[in-house]
Amino acid sequence: MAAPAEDAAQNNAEVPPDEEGDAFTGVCPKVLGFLEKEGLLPPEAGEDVFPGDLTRQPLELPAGRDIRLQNLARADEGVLLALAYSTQRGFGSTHPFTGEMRMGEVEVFFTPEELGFPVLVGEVTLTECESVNQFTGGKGRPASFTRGYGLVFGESERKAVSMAIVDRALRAGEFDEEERGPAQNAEFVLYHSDNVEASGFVQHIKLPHYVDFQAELALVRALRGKSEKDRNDAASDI
Amino acid sequence: MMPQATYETGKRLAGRNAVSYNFAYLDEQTKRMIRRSILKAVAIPGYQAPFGGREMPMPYGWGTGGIQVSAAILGREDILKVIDQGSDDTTNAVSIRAFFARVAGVRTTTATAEADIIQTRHRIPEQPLREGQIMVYQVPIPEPLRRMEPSETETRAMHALEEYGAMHVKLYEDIARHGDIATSFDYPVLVNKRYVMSPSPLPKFDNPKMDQCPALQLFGAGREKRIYAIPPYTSVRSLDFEDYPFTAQHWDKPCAICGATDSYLDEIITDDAGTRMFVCSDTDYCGRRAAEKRSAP
Repeated sequence: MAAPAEDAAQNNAEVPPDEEGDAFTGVCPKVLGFLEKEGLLPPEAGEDVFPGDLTRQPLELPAGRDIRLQNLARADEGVLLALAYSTQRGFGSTHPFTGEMRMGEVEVFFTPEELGFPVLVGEVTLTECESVNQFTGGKGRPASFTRGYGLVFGESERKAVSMAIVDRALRAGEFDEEERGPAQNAEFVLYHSDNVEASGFVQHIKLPHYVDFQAELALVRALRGKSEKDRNDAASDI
Repeated sequence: MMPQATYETGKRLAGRNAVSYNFAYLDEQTKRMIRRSILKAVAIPGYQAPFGGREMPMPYGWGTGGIQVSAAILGREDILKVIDQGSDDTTNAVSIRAFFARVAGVRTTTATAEADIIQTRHRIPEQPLREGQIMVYQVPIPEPLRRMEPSETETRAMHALEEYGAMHVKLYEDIARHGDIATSFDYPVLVNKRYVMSPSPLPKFDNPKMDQCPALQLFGAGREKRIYAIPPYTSVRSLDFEDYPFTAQHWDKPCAICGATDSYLDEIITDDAGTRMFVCSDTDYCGRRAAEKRSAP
């Protein structure tokens, strides 16, 4: 137990003390930016790409990565966790390295339709994970790593890393990978991961269905009566 | 640079009642978006038009599509009726009726004939609908081919190509296995001789009421974000075969309360010994008939 403690002490000693002695508050460059500069990682879409809005437009397939990421950010944590885990075990293949895992506060603006101008409604905590995944390349293209991205509400590293893994899994088509598991099927993942939709639809089973059940009851009774009659007819033929 | 609210805007807003809702809950831009989808749906009978469904203050699967359609078409003078299972006093119907009474201040009714808009889950009223009325159906699964083909990408292509073989094979397999078409509710229909459509989970007893109906019929699926429609006086045919024609449910006995022989009956267990009683599922129809019988000399 002594050795790791010594290592930690040494590492701490190498960190230059902050001038004020306070937490670091400046701009911290992203680690993946260094790999990007070296050409080892393709850049993400720039800010000139205007994303769609899943809360205003219905999901249509095939969905672009902007829409997929919005869907995943809204997805149920348990669903993402299970899907991410499934790819790690072999239903799909992702076992990423973590490039970035950080947390912070962002301001949220809301534009009421009737007013037409944005209103600051508050700040929320977000957790972000950028993963570095297995490389692609070959057939004349130089080898490079690939990315997965997760951005989730609250302090939730587990959901952020799950989302990054599922995002990468959903890019299978983009990298000509064979689809081997449900986490790589965009339609399956996107349509079933929203917990507000899933929770409502599963629990609507609590509402009365007696009219439809009556219809099924009458049908099953009729089918049973018919098969009994057929059996009797067959017996009397002998 | 983001535009800022001016002092004048603030004053104008403060003058409004801060706790009141916009008429029928949704904002006007959202209602316009929904109306555009409704118009598209009416123009292509039976086609599932995608719409930007919003989250509503009730769970998905509980009528969020229906209330968005109703909110988009309600006028201040309209009279609204809401039923679930044919009844005006089931929990879903009571909640949705109370919702619109509160957020739109519209008059509500249980009388089918009085209503301008009838929102429903699982039934069409027994009293024939008339011109000018609008039926709004709550739809859980808008895709009639879903049980045969789980992929939305595939089913949209099947509709576009009018490729409905899978549905006919399913009906044929029912006959081969059970000796009859084994679908008793949500029985598929062909609308305007073009689109195969889910009638929502109506018992097939109600299917014939949709054909050449004088009322406009609108279908809203909130979770699946689809709206579809049957304009007045449109052909709606229940799928079948020449040698296995479509038949609706029928009962040997009349309603135990009002004596109707032409209505859809629910089976009610009345004691611990399992004694059954068959009564109308349409409470307005049954109540009216029973009252007429009582007042008759």
